[in-house]
Amino acid sequence: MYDEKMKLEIFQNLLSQLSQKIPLSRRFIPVPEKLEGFGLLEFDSEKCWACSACKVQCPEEALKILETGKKRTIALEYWKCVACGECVDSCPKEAVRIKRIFDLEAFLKREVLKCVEAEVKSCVRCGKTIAPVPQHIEVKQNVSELVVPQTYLSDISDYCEECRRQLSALTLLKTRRKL
Amino acid sequence: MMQERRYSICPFCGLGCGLYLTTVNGEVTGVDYAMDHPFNEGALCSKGNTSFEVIQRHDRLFEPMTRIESEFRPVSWEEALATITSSLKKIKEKHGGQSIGIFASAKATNEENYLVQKFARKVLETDNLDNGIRLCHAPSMLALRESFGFPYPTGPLEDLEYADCILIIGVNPFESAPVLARRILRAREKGAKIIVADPRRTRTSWHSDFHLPIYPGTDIQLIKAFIQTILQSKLQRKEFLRDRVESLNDLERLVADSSPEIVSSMVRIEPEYIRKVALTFALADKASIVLGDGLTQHVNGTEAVGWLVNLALITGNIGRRGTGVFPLLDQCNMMGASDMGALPEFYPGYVEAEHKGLTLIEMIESAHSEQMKAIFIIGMNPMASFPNTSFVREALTKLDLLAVQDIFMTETAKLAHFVLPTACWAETEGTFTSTGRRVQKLTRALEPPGAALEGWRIIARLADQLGKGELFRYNSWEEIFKEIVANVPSYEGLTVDDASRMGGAIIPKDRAQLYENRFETEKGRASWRHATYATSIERESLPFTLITGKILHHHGTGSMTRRISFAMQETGEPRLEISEEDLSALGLGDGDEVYVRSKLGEIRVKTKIARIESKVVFLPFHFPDLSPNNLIPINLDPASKTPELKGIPVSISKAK
Amino acid sequence: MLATASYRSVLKKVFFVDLDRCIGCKSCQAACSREHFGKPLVFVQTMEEHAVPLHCQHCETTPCIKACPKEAIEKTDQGIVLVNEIKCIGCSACVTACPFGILQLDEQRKVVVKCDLCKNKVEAGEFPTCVRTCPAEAAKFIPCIGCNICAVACPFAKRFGPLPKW
Repeated sequence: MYDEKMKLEIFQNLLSQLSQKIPLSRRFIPVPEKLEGFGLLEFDSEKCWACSACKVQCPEEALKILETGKKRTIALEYWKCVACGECVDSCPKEAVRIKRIFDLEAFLKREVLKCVEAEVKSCVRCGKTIAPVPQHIEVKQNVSELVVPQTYLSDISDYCEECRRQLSALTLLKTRRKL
Repeated sequence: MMQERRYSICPFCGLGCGLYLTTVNGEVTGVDYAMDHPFNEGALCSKGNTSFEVIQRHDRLFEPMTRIESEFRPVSWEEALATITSSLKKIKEKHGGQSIGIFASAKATNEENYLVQKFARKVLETDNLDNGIRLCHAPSMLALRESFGFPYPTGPLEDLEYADCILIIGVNPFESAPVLARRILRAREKGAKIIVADPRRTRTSWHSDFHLPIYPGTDIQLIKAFIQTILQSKLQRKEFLRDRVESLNDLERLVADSSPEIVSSMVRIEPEYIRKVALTFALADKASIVLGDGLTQHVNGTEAVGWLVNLALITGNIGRRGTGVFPLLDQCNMMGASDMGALPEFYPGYVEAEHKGLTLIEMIESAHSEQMKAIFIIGMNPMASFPNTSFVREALTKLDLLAVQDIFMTETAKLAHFVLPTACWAETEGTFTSTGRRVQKLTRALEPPGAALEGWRIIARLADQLGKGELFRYNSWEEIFKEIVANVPSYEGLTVDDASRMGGAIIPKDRAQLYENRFETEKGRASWRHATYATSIERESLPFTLITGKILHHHGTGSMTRRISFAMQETGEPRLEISEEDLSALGLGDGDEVYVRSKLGEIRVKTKIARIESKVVFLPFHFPDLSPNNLIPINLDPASKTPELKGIPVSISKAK
Repeated sequence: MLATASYRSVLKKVFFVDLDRCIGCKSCQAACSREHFGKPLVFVQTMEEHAVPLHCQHCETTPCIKACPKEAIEKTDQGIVLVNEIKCIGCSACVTACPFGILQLDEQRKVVVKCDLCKNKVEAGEFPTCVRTCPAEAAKFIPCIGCNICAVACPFAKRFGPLPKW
């Protein structure tokens, strides 16, 4: 899509057009109907899994994940966003939408906007993140509808995938009487 | 976009596994499996699987270069060869042919090595010619040849699966040559007992029935204790000794002072355990011995192999399938380079040379004392593989002429006056001889990069420039091969077809299992090895003993494997292996950095907790920047001139 | 009860790991990563004196399929569990669901990846790459006799109903 320099140019044009009609004292500017490449992401924190599919799919690497022990924050480096809609399409919970509004101040000041914050479930063995809590709860719920052993629900889901592999290996060794 | 496959042989260790290189439009894209190969049956270790990554690296040497100060500038082949040969001519005229030396490559083909030795002896008139076997298995070659007649492993490697007992000493094949595990584990599945002697618990010892955590450098005492136990329990194979070996004479007396109780404190193993292992070995119907650098890279290396020979003889374990002594040569053509006479003491076919030249380390010492004036190094990296790195640097820097032929700019190439780019294994045709004595043909998968030339062509051109071109008029590798077959006794009767079929042919032809009825000695009998060659050396009394060795995924001095993404992801840097107790006694934890100091110098390296003997530490040598060779003084085994690279006294201290 | 096909019943082969043979050399990992965009899909877990290579079990119950919000994982007619890389959004729900920890997010390619039983090779009658390369003959792809001992022995199958017959 558009790179930063092009955007800035287009913007200068837009500003001069708009300033002729509207006094430019507002931060949020409505984006004209046929204009592509501008928008503002809105995350529904009730629905959002904080799974980062949006971050993975973003072609501009505008979305970032910040994790500190217990919490995961999804943030947007706003000046990179081209409102392409990949995040909207890829979201498993349909928790993202793009408002046709441009945050001029955030763009010019190169702000990192906080989109959503969620707690993460940490591995009981090594402390690494397994998944954000909303996703973890729903996955566990889904899986429990299958005929799977109690061990999954009570033990395995508390471990990250690396520890699960170690555990699987240990269990295999025990069952085959190697340990 | 057609995918093509070219059958070739893995360029890393000495097992000689067959594989296919896949190419698409002249690009090497991957590897495929030669399921019908009689040795590896398609299997490949992580090195073989990723070998193709090395071929088309952007940093391959592709044009001849000359060094001005510390800058390299490209030159044409004409200029490079003309300057090198005129320099060689002058040096030869002024100081004689013996002031020139050649380091031949254990990774170059038989054809190239055959020409190298011809060039050395007929053109340069020097016997100062050696190859990498000197660093590890010259002791094995000499001891086996003296006792049995041939310097070779005594049977085909595949036959290990028929053994009832396998003693693996001073080598860790499950990490350095994983495909050998196939045969050893098949034997185990059928009930064979596996004995591993190693100061470390390695992947090889995971699958062992007996693990002897031997203190480095005490192999002779251990093996003598085995023999003493066997003689005491009267388990020697009397018929075999009567029919096949020279008389017993002094053997009993020589081992009298080596009972398990007496050697126990030296080898640091309980006497009862030593006795149990000895009896297991002796009672087995067919026992084999697999040996490596851990045993040979000591000042008593040849003596140690000699005692293994004695152990094999006393238990009658030569000449039958499932028995034998198997030194594991660790380069793809170390066997071949030696067969071709790229050795100072032998002509092709192990005919004793009239005048014995200098060995690898001796050439370095001679260069250091300015008697040797020129060295041509082919496919070897002494700056990373020889002991006392700073001494080696000084020696090479003093030379009037240092020319290095290689595929990458190695630490050694950086010191050269001339660097010559050569074709790698995938870009040349010729044969390799594996440690299992298989002569196998390589198929070219693509052309060498840029102006790089096949090794044998470079030698032919040098010879031509020096006026002896008529001895080197070959149009193809096959012509050289035919000359080899005519001139090297053990290669007699081989055809190009033999070498080209999958699995090649084991030499001597139709004699895969050696010594079935007689030994290749004058009287047809094997002889005992009692000679003591070792001189005692002054050793500092420092608290730790350093051993060096190989780790998974890496090979040699790492000039190839440090360019492979998988190997670097798995192990990107060396770690000093140390026991948990020793590390916590230093007040440190896993991963903390330490200084390792010997009388020569020090290096700073990260630690790793491992199951290794108390007060013994291990460092791999695949990473020249943190090479243990910086710490190791030059001490040679008097018989084989192999340097001691294990059992070095060091001190360890916390690094801030 | 689930009546999903198992690759064991369709291909009549089972992935068997001989733990007496595995030497932890990771040749399978090296080979697998070469065949799969530089990311190995088999994991060699090393413990003190043992090594266990872990593959996708292509389970009966497929918790990964159940957890996927985009129906991007499917079980083929052959019983092989495959990630549809076009539908996959990389949300990692399946990663959380897999009891063996086999699925991984490949951030570069923006999809989740897992062992595909070397589908193309297997369909052509060859063995999976890890089996072909294993130096120690630890990874095997051997005829399945349908005895169900795997189900009984499966450490994760403590509450398991009767399996479909084949």
